Amino acid sequence: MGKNRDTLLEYVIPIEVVEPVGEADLNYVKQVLVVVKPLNDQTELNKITPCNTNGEVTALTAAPVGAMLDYMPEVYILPQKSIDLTSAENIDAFKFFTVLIDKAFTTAEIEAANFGDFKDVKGICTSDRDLATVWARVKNQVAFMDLEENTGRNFYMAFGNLLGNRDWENQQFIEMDEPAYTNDVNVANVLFNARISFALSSEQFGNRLAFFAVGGKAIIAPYILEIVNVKMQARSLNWIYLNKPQYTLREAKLMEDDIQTMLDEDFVETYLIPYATVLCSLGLAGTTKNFVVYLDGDIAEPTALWRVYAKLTQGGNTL
Amino acid sequence: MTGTVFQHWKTSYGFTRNSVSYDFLDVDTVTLEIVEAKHLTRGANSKNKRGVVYKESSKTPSTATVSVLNLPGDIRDILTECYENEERINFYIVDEKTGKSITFADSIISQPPLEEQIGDGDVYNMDLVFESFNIRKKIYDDATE
Repeated sequence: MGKNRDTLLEYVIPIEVVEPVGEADLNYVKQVLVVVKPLNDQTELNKITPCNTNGEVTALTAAPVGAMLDYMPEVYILPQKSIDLTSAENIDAFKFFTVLIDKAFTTAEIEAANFGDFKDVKGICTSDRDLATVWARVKNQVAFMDLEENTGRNFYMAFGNLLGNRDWENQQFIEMDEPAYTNDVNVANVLFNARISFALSSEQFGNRLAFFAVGGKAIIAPYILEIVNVKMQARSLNWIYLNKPQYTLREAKLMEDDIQTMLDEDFVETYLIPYATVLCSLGLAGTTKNFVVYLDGDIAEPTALWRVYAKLTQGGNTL
Repeated sequence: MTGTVFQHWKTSYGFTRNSVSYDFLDVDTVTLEIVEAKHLTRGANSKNKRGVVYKESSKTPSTATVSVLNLPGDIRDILTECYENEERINFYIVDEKTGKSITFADSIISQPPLEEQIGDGDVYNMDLVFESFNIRKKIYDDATE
């Protein structure tokens, strides 16, 4: 290692530089792993391949995962005959927050899936309404209903738009390529009530994403919560590193104020969540009065507006 | 129960810039002018018993005027830089015993930090005026002792 600075200068004026620790890496929140059926017997199984072009995708699978590459730069593909993340040999080399299961997998294969310790967003595309109903009830799970004859392209378009866009948006009524699951309002209402994601076809507006949710919540909810968590961790680390605080209530309150500033600027003022409040306190009586500050956060859930139930009364004066 | 009054001798004052906190060691007086207020009004016919709420001074920022003694030269330079660049900083008041706090978040320094009295050496005595529309009050009894 070469020495750049002059010895005399370093002796007379040693300078200690304190820089912030920097922003936390949040790229993984937008990364997705897609479990697909292999293209043929020569396709290598149980190995994750990062794909940047449609050609790389079609060399591994017939699934239309390339639709996501219209919106995002990279997807991870895992060819498997049965869904088992624990048998993916190089899984530790990749970070992702979403796992999508291709439509080619059957209900039985999805029910027998092994996700190991993966707890983040899991999406399936299916034409089995019973499976979708059960799947969509569970936290962090997305069930996307699609026609039996479709390839699942709409499913990938929906996630590609969600994860590839600059802003976190709920993708209300974006256009879909393949025919929609239904054109019937009653079917749409049943799916909506079961919080199943689906596309609806309209005579005038074509095929549109008519609902997109995860575990009964707005589709962006788990992603925003993850970003809030990581940013709070990074902000706390940065504050402690820069201020070298002692264990006093005053310092806890200053850290609280700094985290509050970040939450207000990054989430509340950008309308991602309506409110966020944090409280930092020292250990209660009986606990160690050193090292650990307790942080309690009260953060609103991100929500989405999809429908309007309107009522018009003609000729009355009821408003 | 602790009241909402800050006791000067156990309160910390200072400002936060880019996540780094700078304390004012010697503070003589602090005057807070939180101008926002809500009022009731009603029509002159006086029929309405509940009235209508209206808000006063929505366009006027709240101010904190702090008389600081013995402000070190380098901190004065930082404050001058904040004034020149219209940089947003947080002025804080924290009760060290109870954790009660008031923050003038996203505030600007509204007057140039100039010395009004002659001090000794490289320290300054001055009044600093912080202006903010984002006042965060956390008034509760959080004492752990």
